[in-house]
Amino acid sequence: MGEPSSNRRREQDGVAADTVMPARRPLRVYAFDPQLANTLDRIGPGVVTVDVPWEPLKVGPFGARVIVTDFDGGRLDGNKPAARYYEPVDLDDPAIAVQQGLAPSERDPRFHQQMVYAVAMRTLTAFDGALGRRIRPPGGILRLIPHGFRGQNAFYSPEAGAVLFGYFQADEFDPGPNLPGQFVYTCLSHDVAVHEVAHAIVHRIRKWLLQVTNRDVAALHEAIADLTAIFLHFTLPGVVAETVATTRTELGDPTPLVELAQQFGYSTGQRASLRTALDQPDPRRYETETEPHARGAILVAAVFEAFLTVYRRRIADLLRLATGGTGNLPTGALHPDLVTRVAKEASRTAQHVLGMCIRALDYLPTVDVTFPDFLRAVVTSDRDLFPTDGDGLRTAFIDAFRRRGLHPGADEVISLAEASLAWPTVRWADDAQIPSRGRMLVRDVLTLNPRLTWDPGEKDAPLDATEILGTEWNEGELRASLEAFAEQHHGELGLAAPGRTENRIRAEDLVTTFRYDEDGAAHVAFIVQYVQTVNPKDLPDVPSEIVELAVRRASTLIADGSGRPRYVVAKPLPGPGIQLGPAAALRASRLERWVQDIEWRDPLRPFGYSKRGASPLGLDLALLHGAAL
Amino acid sequence: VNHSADDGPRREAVRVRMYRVGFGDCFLIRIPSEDTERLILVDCGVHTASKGGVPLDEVVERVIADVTDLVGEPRIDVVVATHRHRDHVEGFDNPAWMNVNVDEVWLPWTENPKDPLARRLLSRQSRRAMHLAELSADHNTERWLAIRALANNSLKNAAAMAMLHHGFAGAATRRYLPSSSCGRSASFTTSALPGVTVHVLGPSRDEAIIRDIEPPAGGTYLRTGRGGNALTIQGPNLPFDRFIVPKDDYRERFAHLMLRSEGTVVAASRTDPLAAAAALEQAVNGTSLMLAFEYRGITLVFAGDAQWGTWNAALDDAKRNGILTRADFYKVGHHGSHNATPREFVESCLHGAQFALVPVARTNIPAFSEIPRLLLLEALADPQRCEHVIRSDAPPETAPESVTVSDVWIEVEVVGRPDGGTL
Repeated sequence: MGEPSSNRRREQDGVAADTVMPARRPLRVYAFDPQLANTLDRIGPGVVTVDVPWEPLKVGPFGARVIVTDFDGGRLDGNKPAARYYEPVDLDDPAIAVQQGLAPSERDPRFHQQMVYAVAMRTLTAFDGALGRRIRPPGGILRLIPHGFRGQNAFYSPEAGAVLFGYFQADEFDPGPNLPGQFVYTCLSHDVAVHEVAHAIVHRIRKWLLQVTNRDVAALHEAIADLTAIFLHFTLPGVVAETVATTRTELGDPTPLVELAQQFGYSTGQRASLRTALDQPDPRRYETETEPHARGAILVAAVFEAFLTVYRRRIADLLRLATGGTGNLPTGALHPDLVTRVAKEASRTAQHVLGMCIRALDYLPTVDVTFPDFLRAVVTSDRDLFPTDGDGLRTAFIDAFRRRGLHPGADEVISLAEASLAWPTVRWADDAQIPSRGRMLVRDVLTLNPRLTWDPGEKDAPLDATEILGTEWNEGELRASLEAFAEQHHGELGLAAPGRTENRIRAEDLVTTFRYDEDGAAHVAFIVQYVQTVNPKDLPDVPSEIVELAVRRASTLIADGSGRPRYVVAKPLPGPGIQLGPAAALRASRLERWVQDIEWRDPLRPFGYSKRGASPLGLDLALLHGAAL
Repeated sequence: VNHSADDGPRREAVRVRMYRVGFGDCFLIRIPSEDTERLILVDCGVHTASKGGVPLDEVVERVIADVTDLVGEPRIDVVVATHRHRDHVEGFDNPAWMNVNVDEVWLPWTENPKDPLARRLLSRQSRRAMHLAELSADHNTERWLAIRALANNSLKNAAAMAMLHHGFAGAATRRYLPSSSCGRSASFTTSALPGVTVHVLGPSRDEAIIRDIEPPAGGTYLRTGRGGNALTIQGPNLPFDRFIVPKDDYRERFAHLMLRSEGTVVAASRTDPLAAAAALEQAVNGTSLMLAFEYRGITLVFAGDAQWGTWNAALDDAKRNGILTRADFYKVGHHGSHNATPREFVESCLHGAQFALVPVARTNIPAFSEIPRLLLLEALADPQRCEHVIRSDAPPETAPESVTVSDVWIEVEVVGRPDGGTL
């Protein structure tokens, strides 16, 4: 044996040479949260054992992509803040490892650390699989702080590069099934943890979504986070089968499976879970709702309806088989075999639907995203891999979105047919191919199955790229070549002609994705996000400080494996040399109205504060979540 | 009774007197009638941060003396308190009012002691104000001064509110507006003001409006207090005590886990108290009464400090929009601040008005320098929209005939439109 570059552990760690390390690490967590684990009317087990991919860990836990620091910033000593660190957990401690992690406990912070680690890993893995690449959190590693502060909140902070979970005392007068005044830990809610980690990942994929340039931007951030939390319920062992049995296959009934953050909701006096995936479709809500979580819930409900439609279609044959062809279930308990098979279909469908939503992220515009954009991205990305929509997944999405008014208008598409909703494919006159794709390919191939280093947190790529490329990896050079390419093709990209100092184009993010299509063939795509600053003179009706901070022209360029541009998803704005004039003018007028609206509502605006502080369009996830997590 | 003919308003004119309290509101409306003129007092208060202006006690004395002069006795037909901010009500915390006869007192529905929703809203808002006042008590930086000023403005103002709810001479009727008795149209007449139709433009009881004046929607900034971000909990039974690792030990044993900057993490979890104070200010403003008085084709709009929710609802409603379009007089909302007078109102509604009055003064809070918003005042002063825009702290040097300026007040005379004011 040589390098510790495989799953073989070194001798000096006390493990015999050539011992094959496990592929998975089983860990116990609350299935939902402590409140549901402690009541009898729950469905399924209160505590489950999940497995996460095995990786070398230091005490913390501290792995390649996640680090848990149990720092409590909310403690007081007398009246003075007195932050404290709590003892970290060692998941490799044999006494802990052999019992699949510490037993769930509200009183032991080390269990809390174990749970946030496990849930974060589950979330990252779900995104990896759907995106066809290994997601690296912003800044390379995501810090989780399970008791960051006292408060009814939890949030991802881009500045701290961390998810901070709050803890608080349950409402004195209306605590639901909790004890009045008992401590409630947001980090012990599976939903809250998934939701916040998903925010971090979405931020990694589309960082400009923190600039809230229309009503949908913040709402989409919330919706993706909620969808991830809801659909990960379907991967919890035992929960789905028992829900299928209890609801007699009607997964659209209100159960914990389709609700979010029960304990948080009840303990804060709301007498209900925080949110649900169910609704009564009503297009007026999309017209009028402005609060991001409530608005996001419209999209969540649309996606969940698409899921239910396909799930029902997929189990119809099972029901017929089980009922002699009638499809009408007899009274009494369902046969356990039927339950198992139906649950399997439910889980499989949930995974497909979540995968479609996650894959769509790569096909979104770089800035100023709307719900209709999301629908178009779902349709486009799914069609690329699965040209035949065998189970009607895409049709179900389109129908559910249509029922809620979440579709583009007639000024943008001809109809709601799939072919019309998909982003148009482009063909550039000079048959251009994006530069440096060989280097991108090598860099990103190497991250797919990372070398498991013995030093958690050490970068596993692109260190190794040097070996293959024969030259030192140079991210700056790659960026520069892609930027030069964009300057040459600014017209096709919907960007303005770059000047000496103004209208500078930046390549913000460059990734390669590897996906398998319906025939099992591998698909490679290159995705580049281009962002261009806007000269305030081009938007005379928007305050210049807002233009400088928050408003950009942008374009997502998606090239196929040959490097030829396949889609250009542009968000243009007026400026010199713009080819998409009408679209640019339309976006400019929407933006002007939106900025007026925001300024008019910003409580700080009359105090002249916005000018000195951040732009009023900057999304502060802590504040946003203070309202409704 | 015995005021001279010159002194009283002409039959076809209404006069509005703006008392120069500084950064605060105090308006006396004089409406002609068959016998003595009828008087409406809209608000009486000043902000703690106000600089300049006539001292409030003096103003109260003057108001009472003035009404006694005008109608022969200390008597006001209707007293309106648009909302409970100190800069609108503090003047009522004065025993002198016990000698003034008042027929009716009008308050927003959120002040109705018999309305459970109103009680809950007010108690939450007051708790937040107290919490912010406590937080800011020991700090003296510019930001904290601004926070304290905002919090103080939203404190209960209990004595002033008690006068409005229970005080004055006589047995004044209290109306909480819009009341269910004035129906869907939210307009009413009263024997206290013959010939006057009152339109209640806000606050409505729409869910959207209520959400603006209490969390969650307006509440992104508002979660302070027990369990909120800004407050830490102390007491027995703190969890995890036995798992604490002293920092030096921790650094030695778990260097790989230490935060590089604890401050960044702590700061990230703190609600900005200025944002919380500003949001509270806006929430209380959201409860503000917004009224239009119509007398013989003359329309006066008193926006209180109404915020976007109230304005939006009014602008979207055909009837209310029509009333706003007829405005001959506009009391500029929230001292001329950026987001208390919507652009749509200025650009699309306001046409041919005679006066816009701005009760404003400098304050000792540098953060308030954007009040009044000069761009707004310039837009109002377009002669097509409004003939005269008058600030209480800067009366016009050469006043037209219809304007009277004194050290204590500025009075304007509003007349009917040549076309009769009807549309």
